[in-house]
Amino acid sequence: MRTRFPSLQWHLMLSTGTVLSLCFLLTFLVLDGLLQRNFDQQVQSALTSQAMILVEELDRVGDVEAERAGILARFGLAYGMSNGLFQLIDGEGRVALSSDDTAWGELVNSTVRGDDVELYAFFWESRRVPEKDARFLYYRIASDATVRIGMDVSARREALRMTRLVFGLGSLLSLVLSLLLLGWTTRRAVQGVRHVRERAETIRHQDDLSARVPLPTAFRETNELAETFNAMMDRVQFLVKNLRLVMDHFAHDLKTPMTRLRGLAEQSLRRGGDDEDMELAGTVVDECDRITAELDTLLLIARAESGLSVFRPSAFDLAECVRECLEFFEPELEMKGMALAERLPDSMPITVDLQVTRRVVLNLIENAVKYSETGTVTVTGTQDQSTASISVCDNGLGIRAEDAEQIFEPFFRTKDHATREGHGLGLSYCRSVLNAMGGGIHYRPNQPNGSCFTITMPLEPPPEPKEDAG
Amino acid sequence: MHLLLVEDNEGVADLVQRGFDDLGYRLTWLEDGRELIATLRRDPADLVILDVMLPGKNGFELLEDMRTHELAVPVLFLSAKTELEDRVRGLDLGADDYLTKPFAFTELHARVKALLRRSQSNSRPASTLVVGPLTLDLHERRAMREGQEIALQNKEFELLRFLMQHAGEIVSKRMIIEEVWNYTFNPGTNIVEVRIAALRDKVDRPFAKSMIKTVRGAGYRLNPDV
Repeated sequence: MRTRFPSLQWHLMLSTGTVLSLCFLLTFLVLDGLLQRNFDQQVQSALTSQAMILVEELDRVGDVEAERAGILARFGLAYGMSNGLFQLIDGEGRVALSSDDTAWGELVNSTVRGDDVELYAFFWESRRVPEKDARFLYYRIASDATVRIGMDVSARREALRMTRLVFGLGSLLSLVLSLLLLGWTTRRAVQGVRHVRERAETIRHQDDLSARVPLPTAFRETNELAETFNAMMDRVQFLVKNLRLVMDHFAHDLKTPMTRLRGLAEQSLRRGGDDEDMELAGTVVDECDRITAELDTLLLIARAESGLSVFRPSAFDLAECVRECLEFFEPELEMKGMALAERLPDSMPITVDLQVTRRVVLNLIENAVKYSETGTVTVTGTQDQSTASISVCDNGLGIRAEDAEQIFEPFFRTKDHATREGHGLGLSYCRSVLNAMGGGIHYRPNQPNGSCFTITMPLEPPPEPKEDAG
Repeated sequence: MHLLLVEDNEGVADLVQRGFDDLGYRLTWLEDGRELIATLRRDPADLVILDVMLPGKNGFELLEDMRTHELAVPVLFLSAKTELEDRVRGLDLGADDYLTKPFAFTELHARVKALLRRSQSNSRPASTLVVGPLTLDLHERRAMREGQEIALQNKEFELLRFLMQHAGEIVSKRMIIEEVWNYTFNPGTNIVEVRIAALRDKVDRPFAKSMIKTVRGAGYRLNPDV
């Protein structure tokens, strides 16, 4: 589920990046539009005013070809021969008179036909060759005369392009820098949160209740979070310490009188007496032992469920361990005429608490043997890369579907089993210690009848989470 | 033999006291650990039985005190705590043995005897055990009674060895499970009864007198006087 949520850092960077990019793009488009319009207007007004002045000059001299040629040449010189071109085009679209056009090359090889241009209207044209970018204005002053003014706009266009480039690069750089800065700050901010989370993970995995988040973190908010977490841990540690104390005292206060009671009964047994007295004393001793075992199991369950269990993992062969446990029940199975099917691999290397494992496995086998009268007890062992599983199946009474949920609860005993020996803590013990070890226990009905219990255990104890420096 | 008991519960202390009195031991009882070091200096004991939960200093702290004062007397812990953690801690600190409450007096006695034996003779364990007519060769793993060889299975051999090591004493089911099978809890089977029955069939049935006795509510005893 967790992977479906984006990390805060990415979320912030992504949203800020998107907003910033959009802003930059919008600004760029508006600015570029304005610049382009400005450019067009400048060129247009320059050309128009030149045209007006030229036409006025031409009109002044009248239809005298030499005078007109002189005016055009002067205009050409005034605006720079490669910058401005001033021509008069006749009715057939041929260039009649022109200022110096050597710098204009093939740009002026053709004209727009005079007929295409309306009388006293501006006609605009753009022409482009690789090294030159020109804008032309046609202005028809008579049926056989059209003025053409050309202007080289390459330099202006280049300037426009540079402005665009500078703005674009500047925007891109700002965007990258903003994102980097944002990434860095959010990382620092999120780091505090991450610290708290990692520390909480550590505590959850290794039951190290004394671990605290190091302070200060980078920001006030994360400091507050860490402080709250630490305060909560103080409280948890205090409560757990108290719980441990209460459990120890509870055990002590109950067991001390039990010791005396058992001792007195034992003393009577040792000193001897009539059969009835012996019977009585023997019963007291047995009952004391039974209550003690129950009490101990209950304390172990309470410890495991409150995360106080101390496991001592050692490397051993689980298959060998199960075979050993089975040996305990061989006489009983033989007595009942039941069969044993052992499906264990040659070896199942594992590193867990041996005593706890033995007790869990024995519990399952004990149940299988105790609650069946015939059939086969099947013990299966499987193993994958990270876990080992042991299944114990029988053909006994099985468990009613409506009870299946509750069999792992302490003191729960099904009606079918109520008359048998036992205190109803076995499965509860198994579940609590297996869960505490990072494993589990599951029940399923066996076919055609009976029950199957499967336990799973990690092959290695959970790794000590690494200490986070900083 | 002089034993020193530190136990805050009078009832339990009284019981242990009477038990050891009956067996001819001398036992000094302290209600807490304040006078422990002084008492040991004045009147050295062969073994100290320490309760873990005591008013003032607890058993672990008392043991540390004793070791700091270079008192090397063997120590046996009594505790209501069942956690293995405590057990391991007790043995790490140099305690010699450990018994959880409630305990069987016979078991306490057996452990005390074993500790005293261990601390008094540093000789290597014998390779042959002899109890009355029974002989157990630990190297050859052979058992003989009245000159007749008895074929034993592995676990039966270990069980007989344990009974012979504690000949004359009552050993509880719990001790047998712990020592012969190396389990720290009762596996909930009648395995001990079954193995004892099997052992009886081989060790006692063919002979005139039976050596393995069942003591109701306490355990078993290998009787050396046949």
